[in-house]
Parts: sequence; C-alpha cells; structure tokens
Amino acid sequence: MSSSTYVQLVDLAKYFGKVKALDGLSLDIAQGELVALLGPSGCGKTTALRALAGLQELDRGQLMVDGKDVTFQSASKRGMGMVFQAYSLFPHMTARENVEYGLKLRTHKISSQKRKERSAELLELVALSTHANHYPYQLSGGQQQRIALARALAISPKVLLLDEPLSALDAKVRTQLREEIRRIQMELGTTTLFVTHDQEEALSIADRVGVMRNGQLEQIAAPSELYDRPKTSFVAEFVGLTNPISGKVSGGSIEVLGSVVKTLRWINKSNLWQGLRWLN
Amino acid sequence: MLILPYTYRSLSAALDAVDIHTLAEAATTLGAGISRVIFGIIMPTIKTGIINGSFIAIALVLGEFTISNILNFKTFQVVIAQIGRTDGQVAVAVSVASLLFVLVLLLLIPNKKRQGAVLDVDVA
Repeated sequence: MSSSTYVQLVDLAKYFGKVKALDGLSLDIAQGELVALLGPSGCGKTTALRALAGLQELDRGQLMVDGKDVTFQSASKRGMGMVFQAYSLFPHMTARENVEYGLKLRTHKISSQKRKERSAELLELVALSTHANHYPYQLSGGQQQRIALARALAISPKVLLLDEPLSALDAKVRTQLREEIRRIQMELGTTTLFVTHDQEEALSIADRVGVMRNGQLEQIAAPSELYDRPKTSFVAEFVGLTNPISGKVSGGSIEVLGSVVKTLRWINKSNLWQGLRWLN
Repeated sequence: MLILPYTYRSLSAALDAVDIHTLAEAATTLGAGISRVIFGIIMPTIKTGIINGSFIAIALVLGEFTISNILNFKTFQVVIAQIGRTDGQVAVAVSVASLLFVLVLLLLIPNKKRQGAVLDVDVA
C-alpha cells in the first residue's frame, strides 16, 4: 500500500494453546476505507479486530494507527469506536446517555451543551432522534445496534471496528442497517474494519474484502475481483455459490468428469477462475 | 459467613442476566478505566441484584441465633436472650422493635419492585 495507509497490522500472531487464532496476519487499511474480514468461524477474524481494539493481547506483531505504534497502548486510550455483536448498550442509561458516555470520559472540558449537540447530531445520523430518552430495553435489536453505532462514532474514533454487528438481527433489518452503516461510513469518511462471516454482507458494503483462514489472510481484494478471480480454491468455495468440480484445463477446453468442454475464451493461469465462471 | 452463599447467588444471577463482559469492553473502548468500569457500569447494571442480596442478608442476620449463641458471639439476638433472663420487659420491647424493623423492610421491598413494574408498563 502507498502513503495513504492509515492502519497497519503487521505479522500478528496469537495462539490459544495449540489453536492458531492469528498466525502471521498482515493487513493495511487506507484512510477512509472500509475493509471487511470474512471467514468461517474460528478463522481469527474477531481476534484480529479485538487486537486492534486493544481488547486482545498478542503473542507477536505490531499495530500502527496513523503512523503511531499502538501495540502496547491500553484499549481505553486507543480511541477506537467499537460496535459489538449485540447487547452492548449500558442498560441503566438512556440512548442519549449511552451516546454521550464516551464524550463524558474523553473530553472533560467540553461543555454539557456541546455534548448534547454532538449526541443529538449522532442520533440524527442514525435516525433515532425520537428515541433519545428511551432505555435500551425499550428499543428493538436494530435500534439498539444503531445507538451502539452512534455511541462508537460519538468519540470521533480513529478507526471504527464492527464485530459482526448485524448477525443478531433478522434478515430484513440486516440488509437495511448494512446500507445505513455504509452510508454513514462514507459520509464521515471513517476508516473502518468490519468483521463478518456473511459473504453477502462483506461483498456488498466493503471497499476491499479479506478472506481469512486459519489465522492468515488468504486473499484481499475488491469484492468484484475476489468474486471473479479468487486466488485459491478456499476463497473460491467460500465466496459465491459454487460447486467445485475438479478438471484439467488446456487452452480453449477443459476436461471435466471425463468429457471435454470448450470454453468461451482462451483460458490461461491468470484468468483461470474467471474462465471457469464463463462455463455457466 | 452464613449469608455468603445467599448474597453470592443473588449477585451471580444478576451478573448472568446481562452480558457484563461485553458491557465492560464497550466501556473500555470508550475510554473508561477499570474503576469507572466497575463503579460506573457494572455496579449500576446489577443494582437490583445488590439490593436483593442485601435484603436477604439482613433478614438472615436478624433471624440468626443458634450458631452465634453456641459460638458465644454477642449478636443482637444473643443479647436479647441474655437480657431476657434478667429483664423480660426490655427483651420483649427490643424484640418487637426488631420485628417492626423487618416489617418496614418488608413494606419497602414490594414498593421498590412495584415502581419498577410501573416503569415497565410505561414502556409497553
């Protein structure tokens, strides 16, 4: 990546006993970019996100944010905004108090008037101004997650970290909120790392999608490239709805299950996967 | 010591009812230190559990006589019994007073609960 690199994960490793949660993961994120980490459960994507948040100690590796080494900085000082899977709102505070919480801790000098303005602004952003005085248990799951997003964004975080924020919601709300997250992220230009196991989610809102496997990055690319040109069979199987069929490729034809099929275009190594999709 | 299991159960139930781990982590990422997490987030969240545990503790303490007496501790109840040997009237008076105290507590608890319930109804 070029000089626009904002967040850098360098050779991260974390072992839980024999399980390799992270095994030499390196990832660069540009300023204002939304990168999604995609992978099956247990592939280490959440561990990577938690490491960046400072909630997970690492066995090895370095974390750089905005040119500064934050590897050993405590989570409370890192200035990361994090949205969890579910139920992370403080139950004894109203939606507004939840959003204001980070501001209260961070900037003591800021007047309560300013704080109110900021929280109102964010509640507006997530379209929940009318619910400012509701308590979390009075809100639906989708609304709770929107408040959680507003709370994370209130502190103007350096990086927004989303840990499967949609997986506890039902399908309709999920698609809706996912578009909303993307809209807000674009609007604010917040650098974002989004962890999910749902490929549709990742492919639809991310600038780049990284597919993880066994604590390593298998491939990272723009959604369309990842879909059309997966580098490995793991990526190919994980992304899209594919039935893998092994065959032998030779130029303009492919031998599959004992019969030779002509392809629409000449296939070589560089367009192999794309070529196979042309078969459909 | 006797009341520890009861208060522990009550507190642990309160802690299990919410995902306290995630709440603590959320507060941490927002910039809260460990003491703020404990007193600002965890304590208010399990407030009901703490209050319930305390009431159980008070009720048990006021009723406990046997073991204190055997072990020769001078608790409230033991003292009442001792006074009772010399001056019956005072002992009866103090006993009635402690009963009244428990009665007041008894009236307080449902009140607290009912307030919460009314709040819930408002919600719906």
